[in-house]
Amino acid sequence: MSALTGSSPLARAPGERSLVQAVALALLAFGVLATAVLAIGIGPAAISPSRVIQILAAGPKTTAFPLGDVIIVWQIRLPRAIMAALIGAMLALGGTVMQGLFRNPLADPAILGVSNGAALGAVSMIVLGGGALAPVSAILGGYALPLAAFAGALTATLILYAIATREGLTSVATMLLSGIALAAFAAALMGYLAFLSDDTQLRDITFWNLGGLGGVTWEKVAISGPIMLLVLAAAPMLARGLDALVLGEAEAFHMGLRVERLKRLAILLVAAATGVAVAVSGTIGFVGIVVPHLLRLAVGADHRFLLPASCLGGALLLLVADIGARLLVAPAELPIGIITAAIGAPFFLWLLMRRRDFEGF
Amino acid sequence: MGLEIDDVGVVAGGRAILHKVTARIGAGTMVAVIGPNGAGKSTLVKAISGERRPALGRVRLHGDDVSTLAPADLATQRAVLPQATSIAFPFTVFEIVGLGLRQRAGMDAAARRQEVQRALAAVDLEGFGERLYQRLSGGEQQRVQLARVLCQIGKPVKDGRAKLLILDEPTSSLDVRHQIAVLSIARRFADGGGIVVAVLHDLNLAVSFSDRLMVLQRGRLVADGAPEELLEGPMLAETFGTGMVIMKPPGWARPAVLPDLPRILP
Repeated sequence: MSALTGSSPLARAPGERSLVQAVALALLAFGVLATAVLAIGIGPAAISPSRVIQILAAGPKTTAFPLGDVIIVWQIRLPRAIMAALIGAMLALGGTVMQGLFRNPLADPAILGVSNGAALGAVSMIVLGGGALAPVSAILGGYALPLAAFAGALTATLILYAIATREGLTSVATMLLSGIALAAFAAALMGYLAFLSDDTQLRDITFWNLGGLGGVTWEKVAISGPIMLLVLAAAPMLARGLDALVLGEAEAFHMGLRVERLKRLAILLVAAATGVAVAVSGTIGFVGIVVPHLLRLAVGADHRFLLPASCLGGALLLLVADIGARLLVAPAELPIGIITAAIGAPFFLWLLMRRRDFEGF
Repeated sequence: MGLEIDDVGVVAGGRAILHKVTARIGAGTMVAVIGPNGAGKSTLVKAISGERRPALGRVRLHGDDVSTLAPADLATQRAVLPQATSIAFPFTVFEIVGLGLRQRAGMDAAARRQEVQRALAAVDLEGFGERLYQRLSGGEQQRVQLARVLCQIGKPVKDGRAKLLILDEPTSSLDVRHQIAVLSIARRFADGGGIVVAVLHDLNLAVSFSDRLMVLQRGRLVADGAPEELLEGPMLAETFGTGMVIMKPPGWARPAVLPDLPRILP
């Protein structure tokens, strides 16, 4: 039987989606690489994809190509493309894990105020880093901002979880409403901080609110990249647990899971992924809800597949959105959060309408 | 040693919802827990399953306190069928049932597939593997969950130790034929040497399938014994607060119980 079913992705063994999943992962990985090459080539100084690949292959110190092209590829656009891919992975991963934790496909860090919590942390550090929080920023240096964002995201996630989940059951209405309240509260505090801030700080804050990948340098990649790789490395530990949690907390315990430990790890991971993404690129919404949902529809909800696939899908989506951000109003640049929200918000509404059809809420 | 429930008390919101419940349930026994709504049946099941640590007393399975055993160890010797399980993600029936095998080591993909197929056949859901769980009816979903639980628990006895199968209202959304099918599976588990504790609302099913009834009322264990014995006195009618007719249709091994409608209704 397995010999027959192994021959075509369409003739699947009962319940076995593994071949389809492997193909999907390979396609996504290829898509990320190909889009990254495109993204590196596109811009005011256009470079063809084949030339991009040659320059990348030749290394940052090559003299075989004009210095301008080498600098554009290696110093300007490559770090930006890497960052876009990593941030996209973080946003989608944060969404996927949060949906698993709340056992609900509508949970998303950006919608439920976790991103705003992270942004509040970051904005506090920007505005108060020279004042009340000066000792913190002195000790932590470049890590102060991502850590402040992480702390903000963690606080928001913990509050949200405490309010929306009672005895292992999550109320969708309470979750969405408390998320709205959390986001509004964080926004109010950010507004107050903006009121306190000077002109330079104000520009930074605006950037955080709209999201963008402008000004990404290797230095920034060096600070936040390792954190993001750590988050990516930790994610597979959650896969089995999140699958069991789909049935409910009690059921997951019955099946042998240490539920409290799983939830703590999931909350930490959501906060870390959201915090680091927000610290680098501001609040970019809807990636975390669109990507996992489409993947579940197309290939299935098994987290052993969904977690890596979401990371790749998020990377792909953000690379594409960043190309859009740089092309649509060239030579100026749109904040990338505008593009993801323009795609994601209608998608979210469509999702709500569809769910109402068969779940009646 | 089997299952030992010793002086178990559970308190919630300052109110005792279980009070000094004590029982011993040996291998090869199927016990039905019955009682009116709010009697503490589900709470007792939570204490037995290790999900809820009792404020007083303790529950031991073969000598081990279930509330202190590592979840993974406990999961190899007891499984729980919940009342109803809805999920928000598009998992297939095959994937859901397969979750029951996650704790079982040393099985290759083919063996897992076979095990899942066997469990699906046992609950009369052959050919449902590829269907999405969310699209099934309530009764079908409940049978999928039973198949998952059967995958988790495996054989009724391992290394001479009886395993524990807990069913919380397993028949609530099933049609008559499947109610009988599901309880027959539980019966076979007990006959094979396992322990079954089932919360049941249907008194006739409880009487027909179980070796023993545990009757709860307002958090107390008010009766515990063989069905025939308990049916003799006025105990059931008093516990449920409604008149009962007990009769023995010809050819039936055990009596049938009916609410005494002509006397109850005006």
